[in-house]
Amino acid sequence: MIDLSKKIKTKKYFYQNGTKKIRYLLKKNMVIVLLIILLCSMGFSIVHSIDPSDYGSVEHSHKGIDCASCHDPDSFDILTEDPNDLCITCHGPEGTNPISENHGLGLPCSSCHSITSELETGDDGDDDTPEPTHPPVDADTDCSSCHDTTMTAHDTCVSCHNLDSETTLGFLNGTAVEDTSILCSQCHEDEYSEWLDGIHVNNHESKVCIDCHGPHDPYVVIETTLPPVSTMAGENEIPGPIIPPIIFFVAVIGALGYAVYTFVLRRG
Amino acid sequence: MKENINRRDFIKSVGAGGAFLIVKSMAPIGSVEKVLKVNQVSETQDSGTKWGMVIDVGACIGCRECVYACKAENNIPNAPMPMQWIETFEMDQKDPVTRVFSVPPTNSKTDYTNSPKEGKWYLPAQCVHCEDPPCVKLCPTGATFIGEGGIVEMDYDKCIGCRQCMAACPYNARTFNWGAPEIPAEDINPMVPVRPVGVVEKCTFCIHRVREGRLPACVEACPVGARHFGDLNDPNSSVSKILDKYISTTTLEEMSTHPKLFYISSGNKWLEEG
Amino acid sequence: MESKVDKILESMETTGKGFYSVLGIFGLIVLWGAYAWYTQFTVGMQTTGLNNTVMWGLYIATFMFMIGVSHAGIIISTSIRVGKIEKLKPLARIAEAMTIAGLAMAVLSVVADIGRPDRIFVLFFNLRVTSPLAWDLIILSLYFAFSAFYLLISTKHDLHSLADRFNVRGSLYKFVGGIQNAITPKEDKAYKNMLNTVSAIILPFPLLDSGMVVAFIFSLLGARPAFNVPYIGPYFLLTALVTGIAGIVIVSFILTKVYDWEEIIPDESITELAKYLKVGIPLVLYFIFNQHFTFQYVGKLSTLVVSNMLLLQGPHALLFWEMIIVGFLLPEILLFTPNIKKDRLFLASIMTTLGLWVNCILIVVPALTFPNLPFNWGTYSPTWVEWSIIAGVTALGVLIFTVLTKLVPIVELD
Repeated sequence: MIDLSKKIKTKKYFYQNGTKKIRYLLKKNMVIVLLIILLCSMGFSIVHSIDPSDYGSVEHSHKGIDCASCHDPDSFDILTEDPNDLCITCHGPEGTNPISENHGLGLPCSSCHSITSELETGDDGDDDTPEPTHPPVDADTDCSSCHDTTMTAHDTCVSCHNLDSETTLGFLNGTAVEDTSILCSQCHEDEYSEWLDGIHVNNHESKVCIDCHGPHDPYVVIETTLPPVSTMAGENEIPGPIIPPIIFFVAVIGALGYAVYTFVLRRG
Repeated sequence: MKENINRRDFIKSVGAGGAFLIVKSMAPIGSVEKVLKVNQVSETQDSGTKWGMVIDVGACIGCRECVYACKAENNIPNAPMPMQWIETFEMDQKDPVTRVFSVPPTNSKTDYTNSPKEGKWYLPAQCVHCEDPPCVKLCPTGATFIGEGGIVEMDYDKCIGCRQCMAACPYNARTFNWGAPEIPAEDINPMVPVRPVGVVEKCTFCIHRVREGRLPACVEACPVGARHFGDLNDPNSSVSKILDKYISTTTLEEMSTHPKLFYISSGNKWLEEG
Repeated sequence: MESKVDKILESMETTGKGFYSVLGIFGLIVLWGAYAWYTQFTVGMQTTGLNNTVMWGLYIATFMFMIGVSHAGIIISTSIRVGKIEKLKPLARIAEAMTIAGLAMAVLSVVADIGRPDRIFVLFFNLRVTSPLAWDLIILSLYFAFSAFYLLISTKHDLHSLADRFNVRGSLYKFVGGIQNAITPKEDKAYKNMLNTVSAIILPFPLLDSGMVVAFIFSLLGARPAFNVPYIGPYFLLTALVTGIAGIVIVSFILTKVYDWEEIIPDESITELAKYLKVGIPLVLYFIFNQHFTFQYVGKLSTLVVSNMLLLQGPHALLFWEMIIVGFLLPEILLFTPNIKKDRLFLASIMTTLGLWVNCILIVVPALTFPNLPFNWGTYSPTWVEWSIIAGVTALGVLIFTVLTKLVPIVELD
């Protein structure tokens, strides 16, 4: 338990002119003064002393992290200019549940993550290291505020897209995967077993589901058409003539015409 | 006079020698009979293996995997000019299969991208390995011939590049090496010869694979299983069973070339909305 | 006053500025054509404008045309011996020399078209009898052999006593012909018989050659609907004969002018040919009309498009109508002059020759442009290599003819 009382700084109002008045009043009405002091101290303890054990159920999901690690104790403002920097102090690359650089693309963490709702803990029952079963994203978080989420088939982004970054794919329980076709098997078990048997696609070793079925629009097979062979043409250097043929032939025909004129036509 | 007789004998012997050479060169073909044959249908091969292919245009999505697999397998170059043995066409639903004559092309049927599209079907075309091939009849050197299993093969060492076979083929299935092919060394398949400049080439039904009991590269590469290959004379082969089950046709039937590449439409369109 | 024989022999013995300038100019063109052919041989046929759709072009068209030029000899010799038209006698040797030159040009055109000319000898040892190109090879070889033999015999007949007048060529004559000093009437008769026999053998060759084998190269292609028509044989035969007639007019006119041989080759020898030309050109037009009328009336798409692309639209249409007007109609109008002078006949022949060459191109190229399957329509635009090789081949033919004028008396010495 961290002793918060020592860290709370009380605000002191110093009125140079009013000090004498208070001392005079204090001397005159000792009882009233004592009563006021008692009330103020009670009020302080109500307002400023927060029982850490109540913490989790009220405002923050971050159990065990003291308020001062993020909030200014007097004004309760967030300490840093960019609140994401605070999240990084715990969730940076070497901290708890580290996130990758790409996650969130520089958006405020709170635009998708609720920092006030309660974390769900996993089955291992160890509260100290919670295993998230669902990523701590608000049910109301609108993925479409950043992503183009028009999909014909798949309603939830999170059934394939995972925690660390939207580019990592993972199971519904959060485990990241490399082999994308296994993700499809979560719902499409029949087609998955057909694909393994080589029925659905002949050469299953080279083609996975998303090679043909766009993951966001899986009905239509697009952008898998290879380009026409005629577009494979490269630079083709065909040698040109050493002198432009037109010059050659004009010269030759000119000479020929001269010869014809001299020897054929001029003779009459 | 004596001089004249000697010269006369000389001319006679030259004439006789020339005639002998001409007849000798014809003799290995031994086909005076063929010249006189009026009925142009050659004897249908009813015994032995007769390799054939069936393409399901209902399933084809026009992805060109077969085109590029063929290019990789058969050392078909992209330099100095890109070549292909298989061509895929994007056809309107009203275009028929049998008598396909190209109408004025307002847009190319070969340069499509983004397939398959609604209202279109896709037709892959290549050498159909006719049973009575006009190219084989017209080749002056015998560089193209009917080989084992009825596959029309090419002997690249005999080809003089006259392109008579290209003019004769109704299916425009043959391509010519207008320049010496340049293929990167790591892409060369050693099972298939790299052709020199100035010879004609075409689909060979991957005879180098068929001999080993494998399937042609295009059949293996098709991701939707639209291609089938097998022995037409074997009633248990996949192609025989398909041809028994579905209505089949060939392109340009009226050319009477009796091709061995058939087209069916099994009705399994690629667009199955679940 | 020189006798006719002296004049002719003098032309053989002396070589003036004209000869050397012709040699120089056409030699240069031949060298340029050889350079272009070397480029094509080393780089491949991608240097031409040919492609997988239009795989035959200028070379095959020029081959057809040169075969036509080579029919000059047969026309003249048939007219003299069978038709007994004595007026054409001075032109006989010219025509034979043209045959040799024309056949040489035709063969060279085809060799230029072949993708692997280094494998020509494969053709001789592996001839497939069912191929029209094989028949073409046989017939052309026989035609060349017989024509050369005919030229040889008739030259020998002329030069029997003249070997001593020439130095280098004398030994050549002796080697080839066995020239002796005197010729007995019996020998004379033997020669004449031989010439008549060979002439009779050569007589069916235009039919066998143009009318059959060259036509079969095209008409046996079932894949090309515009080729696979039965009238192609007679059509080619007719255009070849007309080409030959026009060619002989041009060559004999030039020779007459160059040598001032008005007495040796009288005007009427040349203008006699105007009659043939006057009949031949309308017949060619008749064939062209027949073809297009049939295609247009039936409207079968595969042939209709060929006809439309020649008559109505596209780049070939312009060329087609230019050919009809300049190549056929204008010369025909010129030929209707009564008592035509040979100058006008020369002009008409030049126009006809050009028209017939363009006609050969328009036969070959449009029919190949439209494939049966939905490939893109083909295009063809000849490159500098093709033009240069054609020019070189033509120049070589002219050179061969010019050298022949010095080797054999270009007019018979009778």
